[in-house]
Amino acid sequence: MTDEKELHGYYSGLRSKFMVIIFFIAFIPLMLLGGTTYYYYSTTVKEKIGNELKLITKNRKDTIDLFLNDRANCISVLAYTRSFDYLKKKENLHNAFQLSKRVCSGFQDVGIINSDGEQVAYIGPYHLTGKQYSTAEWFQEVMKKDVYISNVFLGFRKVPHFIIAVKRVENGKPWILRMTIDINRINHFMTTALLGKGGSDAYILSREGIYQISGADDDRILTKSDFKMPPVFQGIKGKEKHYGGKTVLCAKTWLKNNDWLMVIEQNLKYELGPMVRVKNTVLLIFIISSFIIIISTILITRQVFASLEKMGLEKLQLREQLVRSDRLAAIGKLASGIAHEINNPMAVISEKAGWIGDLLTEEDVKNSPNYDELIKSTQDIKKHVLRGKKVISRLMGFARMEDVAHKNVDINSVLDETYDFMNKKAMFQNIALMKEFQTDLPSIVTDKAQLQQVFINIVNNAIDAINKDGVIRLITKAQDGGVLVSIADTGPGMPEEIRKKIFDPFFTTKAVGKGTGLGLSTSYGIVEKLGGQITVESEIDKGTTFHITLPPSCTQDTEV
Amino acid sequence: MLLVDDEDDFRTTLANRLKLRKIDVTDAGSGNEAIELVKQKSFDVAVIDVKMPGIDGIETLKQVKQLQPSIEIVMLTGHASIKSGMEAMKLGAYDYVMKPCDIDELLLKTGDAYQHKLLKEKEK
Repeated sequence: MTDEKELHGYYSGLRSKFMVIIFFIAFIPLMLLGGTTYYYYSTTVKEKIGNELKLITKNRKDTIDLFLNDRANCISVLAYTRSFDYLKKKENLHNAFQLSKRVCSGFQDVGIINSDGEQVAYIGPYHLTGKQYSTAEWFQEVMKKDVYISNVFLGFRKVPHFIIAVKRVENGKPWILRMTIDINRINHFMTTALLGKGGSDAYILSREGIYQISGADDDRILTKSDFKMPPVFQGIKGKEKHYGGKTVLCAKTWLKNNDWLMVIEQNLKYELGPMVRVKNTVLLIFIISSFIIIISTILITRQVFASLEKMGLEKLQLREQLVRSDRLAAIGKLASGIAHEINNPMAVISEKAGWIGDLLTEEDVKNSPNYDELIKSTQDIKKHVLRGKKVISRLMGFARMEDVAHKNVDINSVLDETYDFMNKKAMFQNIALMKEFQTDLPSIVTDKAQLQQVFINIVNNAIDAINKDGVIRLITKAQDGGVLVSIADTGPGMPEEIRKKIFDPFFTTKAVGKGTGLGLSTSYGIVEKLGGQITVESEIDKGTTFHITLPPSCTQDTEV
Repeated sequence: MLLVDDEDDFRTTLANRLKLRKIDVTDAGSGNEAIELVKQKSFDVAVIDVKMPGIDGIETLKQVKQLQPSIEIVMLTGHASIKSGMEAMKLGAYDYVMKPCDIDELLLKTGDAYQHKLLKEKEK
């Protein structure tokens, strides 16, 4: 049925829309909840790590600044409490150096340089006495500034180191006390800054971006870093950076009078374990909830729409039935009116023809050459009046159905009679009539004669539809206390347009004069009157099946 | 025989045909006319159309039966249902014939009615 297909399509479309809407309604809050939970948790964790990192960085800055200041002070004290001449002597310098080392750790060697840049005395592991430093950067700087802490450089010894130099002017002549600082001491401060495991980094860069303290990786010392040097700022700055597929938190601060930039990086991958766990948990909850939502949505909408569709279909069928009943009633009224009006002129025509026939027996007419023709004509008129009478009689029967008899009827025996009645005709056209009866069928209260008319009508139509070679099955089945009779043929079936009209009065597919178009409409009226229902299924090239449902007892006769 | 039908063409033609078959027919165009005739003359059989303007066939049947209880009546019915025929038979009609009728069927039934009447008279 096209209407039913349309209805089905309509409901499927609506169902899909419904499901999508429910999905969204359920998913949006779920996603918001999961997303915000994860977002706030991860920000909190990152903030905590960031704060920790900043604290460590500040600690390192303070430590290193203090370390350098301490060393500078120590050297200053030494320079201002001893004279150039005193320290020039190797054993005096040696004693002073030992004292200093006892006070402050981290000194490697010591040297006294005169105003010309010549190292006049040296205590340490290298042979540097007499070396000329007048061109060295640190010499020129210290001559200007009195106290100078150099950057890391190789110097004569070709080993990375840095020095703290103090200038003292004695009797108008400047001289310099300088000591070398062990960079491993500072490197140690940096390596202890590393939180956790791999991926973390801590180092110090000069203003030019040269590695001063290399942290964990010794090879890069005095090489140029690709770190983008920020302008000088106060305090500590932290920020999240992404490079090489990893996310790091990076804290930086300027130290040593803004000469050096200390950078400590923390790879988040190793610190965010709890966060990943939260993320996974949230994701798991999300997936499980999604499943529940999807399954329940599908189940609920399916159930709701199945019943909706069923209701819609029932409504459609009811409407179809109502329309048909209405049409039948209207056509019935019209038919009976017409029948009455036509009956009288037909009676007159019949009588006149009879009268002509009577008169033709008179002697004088008998001699007419057209006598036989005239006789035949009156007979034809009679014949066709009779045909008209039959149509009218059936029309009247349809318009005003006979009263219903209430008797206990065994449907199988009624169909047996139908079988006996129709079998000859069917056999003649090589059609097999088959009985498929349920043997323990309940007997029902109904009108046997009228039911017989219905069955014969339908079987007759089936035989006409098959024409030659085929099968007609008469099937009975108990249903809801009543009986379901199905009459299935292997005929050519019929298209939707015809199927819709077959119960309409005067609709026929048979040749003119062969069918009145009233058989099925009358059958429909009868079955309806007996409280039953008649429906038809048909498939092109497969056949047609009529289903007649009969209730346990037909209702009291109501005028159609 | 008394033939009652409001359709002139039908009545006169049928009357002529019956006369041709040697039957003494008096025809009436309405129920009133028929009742008047029955008051004046006695008939063996009356053929009455059910559906007529004025007094209808059933009413005519009742009155005629009252006036002449011995008369046998065959109803002519346009209604193709057994219902009106059965109703008439309950009221005392002998039989009914459906219109348009075959003259032979009508002759058969009126003949039966006449025989029935003769039989009843003999019993008396």
